[in-house]
Amino acid sequence: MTEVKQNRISWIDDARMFAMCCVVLCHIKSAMNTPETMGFSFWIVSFNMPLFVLLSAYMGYNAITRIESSRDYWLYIKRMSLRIALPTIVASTLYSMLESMMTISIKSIATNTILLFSICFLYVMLHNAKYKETALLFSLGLIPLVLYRCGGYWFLNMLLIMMLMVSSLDILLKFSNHKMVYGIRGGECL
Amino acid sequence: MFIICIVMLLVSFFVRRYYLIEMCPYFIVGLLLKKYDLINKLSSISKFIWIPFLIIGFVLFFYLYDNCYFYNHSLYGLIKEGKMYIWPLRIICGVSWCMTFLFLIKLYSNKYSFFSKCGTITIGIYLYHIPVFNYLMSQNISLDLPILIYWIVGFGMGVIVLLLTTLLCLMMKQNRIMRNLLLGEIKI
Repeated sequence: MTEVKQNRISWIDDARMFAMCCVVLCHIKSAMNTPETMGFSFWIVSFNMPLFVLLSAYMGYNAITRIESSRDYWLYIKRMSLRIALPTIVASTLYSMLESMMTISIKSIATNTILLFSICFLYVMLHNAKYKETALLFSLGLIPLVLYRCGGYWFLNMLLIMMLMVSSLDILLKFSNHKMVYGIRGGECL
Repeated sequence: MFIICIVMLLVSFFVRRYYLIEMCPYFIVGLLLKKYDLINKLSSISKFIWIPFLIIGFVLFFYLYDNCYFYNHSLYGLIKEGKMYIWPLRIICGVSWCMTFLFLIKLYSNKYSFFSKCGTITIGIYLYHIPVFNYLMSQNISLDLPILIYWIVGFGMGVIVLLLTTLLCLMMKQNRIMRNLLLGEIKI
């Protein structure tokens, strides 16, 4: 029997960690590039990222179908930007900062410092009740920033696009259905 | 949901990012699996439901072999080479392997363990394993080894990277600001 702890299902979290182990192993084997390890890399690549994507969709389904109004939709997008885009931007900026410090690239250090300060400012605003809504609105800007700047983390890049596409299509279909229902009812009344 | 899936697949064909069209079918399969609760329904039929998926996965993998490596053989490359048929086979192969592992994990995972807990911070592990990995790789480890030792070293390095990154992420989780900013665990 599968155990559920704090609304988390053990086999889903196990599967996620298993997929993560495969990703790390695949990166190591790809770096140690030899003909003997290539077959293993081909095999792992055939399912490691697909498993992640499949699980992300499996877990994200409920959140998408819960969107009933434009308010829910915007809240969902803001949540996505804070849960996926924010850590991606922070990680890539920190990594880029580290690299630019090693190569002593002043321009890159300055860009990354400004970006990090902006993120810290956004975070402080988020925790201030007065500016929370404004900060949430600004957080939407993180999504194009990830798509433009974080190509290396292609999985999260792709996940953001997929989630946005599905939720947008879902809300569009729901709205068009509502309009149709109201139209028919209106016609009947007349 | 079917309309959404079809539109998504069509749209992703026109986006010139190879991973989008490559991963879109798996995303659609994930949505449909949840919508129709197929994993629970199929796993309740038989304990050995994973075997047919394993066979399909094996056969297709040995047929496709290096074509499974989508980084080198993108859909657009396949179209140019006139090997379009490989793409759906590759997707079926990937889905078969995913289903095999999902059924197997579901069968044997009956307790919320430390391994499951680590599964909640996979976004952090994914983001931060690269710097740890690059640091280890920069240590000039000699690769002039017999094949068995080479495999063991590779596997051992994978375990070390995973352990270090997991430890790092668990430490980040202890601090609220780090948890919010670095792991994206933020409530609005």
